[in-house]
Amino acid sequence: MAQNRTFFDTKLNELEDKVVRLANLTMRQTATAIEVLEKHDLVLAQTVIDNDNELDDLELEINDEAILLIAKQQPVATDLRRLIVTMKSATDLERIADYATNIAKAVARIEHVPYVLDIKPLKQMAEQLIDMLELATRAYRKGEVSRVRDLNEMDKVIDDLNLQVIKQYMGSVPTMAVGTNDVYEFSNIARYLERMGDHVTNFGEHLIFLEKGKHYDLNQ
Amino acid sequence: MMKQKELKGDHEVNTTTTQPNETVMQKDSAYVVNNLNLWYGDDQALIDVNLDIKKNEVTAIIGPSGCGKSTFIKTLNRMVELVPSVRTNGEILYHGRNIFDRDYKVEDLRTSVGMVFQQPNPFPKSVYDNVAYGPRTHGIKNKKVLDEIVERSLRGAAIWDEVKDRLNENAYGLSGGQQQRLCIARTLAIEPDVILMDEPTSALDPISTLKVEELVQELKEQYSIIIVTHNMQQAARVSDKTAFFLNGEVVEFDATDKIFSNPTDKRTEDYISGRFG
Repeated sequence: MAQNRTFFDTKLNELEDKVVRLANLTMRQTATAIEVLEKHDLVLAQTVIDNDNELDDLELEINDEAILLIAKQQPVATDLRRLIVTMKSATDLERIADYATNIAKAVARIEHVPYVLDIKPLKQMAEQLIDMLELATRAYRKGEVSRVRDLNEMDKVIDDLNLQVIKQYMGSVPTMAVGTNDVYEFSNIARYLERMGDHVTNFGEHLIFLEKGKHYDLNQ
Repeated sequence: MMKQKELKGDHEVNTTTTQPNETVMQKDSAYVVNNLNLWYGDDQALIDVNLDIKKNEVTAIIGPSGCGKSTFIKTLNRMVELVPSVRTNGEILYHGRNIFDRDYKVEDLRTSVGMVFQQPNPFPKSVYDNVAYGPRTHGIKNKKVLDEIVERSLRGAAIWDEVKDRLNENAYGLSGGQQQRLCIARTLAIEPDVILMDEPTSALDPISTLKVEELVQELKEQYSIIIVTHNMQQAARVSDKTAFFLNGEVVEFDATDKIFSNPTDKRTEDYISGRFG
């Protein structure tokens, strides 16, 4: 069957490549933010903060190009879903990257080094998050959504760890001599990681919508 | 294909058969088409078409050139019989009666089923006479009654305000878009309950096209409309249901919302997204 829309297909593929690039950059920002936390490396923290502009610009670029393609090419059905999914996914990925920046900023506000609180649960959450991002990005790149539903269970692990770690940090307040500032910052980092997980599940939901044309809640 | 062989050499216009799996005529159906096959000589143009076309809905017929969509719409008012070599089988129920029945009067059918064509085709007469032509043919002579029909029809076709002061001018003086709406008014004047539209906007500019599309939306309150269109966006904008024809067959017939967001058949998807056709 003759393929009549080479120009449109090329543009759409390029746009999806940009979403994959944004996803990879988001993963890198997340991994670096955790390294900042582990090492309390404030120079690296500034790098994460500075890099965020690139991701913001990429998200805007994806949205602008998708809007132009919709206006000029009037896509329908799968083509339209693919374009809508580039825009929605870019928004979620950009938000995840924002939280990575928030983590870097929070680390910079921590007063007592070495840390007085155990960051192992935060590292576990971050590892799980990066696994989720990898799974979703691979599914998007390859157009295979079969494993995307696993994100639901993976996100529950992050949610549980978040509850545990917040409880642990709050419980330590009465016995600590260092004040509440650091507890507040570490708790925020846990909350950021939990929110990041929710945005990855959103990304997964977009992928199911892309394939099936139906909405699915991975955040139950 | 078996049927084609069996019927080879058979040039009867109306061959009616009743099929065991026929769709039952529903109260809200304008037309029920059962196992419709149509040949031009030895070439089969429609193959086992089954459709339930609802009242007060806009049904769009889409498909690439030569897919049978114009043949199909012209079968609904039996205009296709003007082609000498045509023969058909299957049935088209209109108000529960098969339009191919030997005692079905084609004049009655065409009074109830109006048609608007690709090129506006007003008569070389005044605006008034164009609209009054049908009612006069049906024996209406009373000037006051005709005046009312003309005004009501022109209003119904959303052109009254533009022509009310030029009713006695020749219709050829109107723009293409106005001529097409005049032709719609001419159709409304005979008070049909179905309006067939065969690419009604393909010769019109974008503004006139949108006016006709708006009009279609208004008309479906009172009429059942079946529209053949090459313009995919038009089908998406104006219709409630869409039938996709390919090589004489209905590939997919569903709610327009479904067809244009998540069609079931890959061929439909390829066609509506401009991958072929």
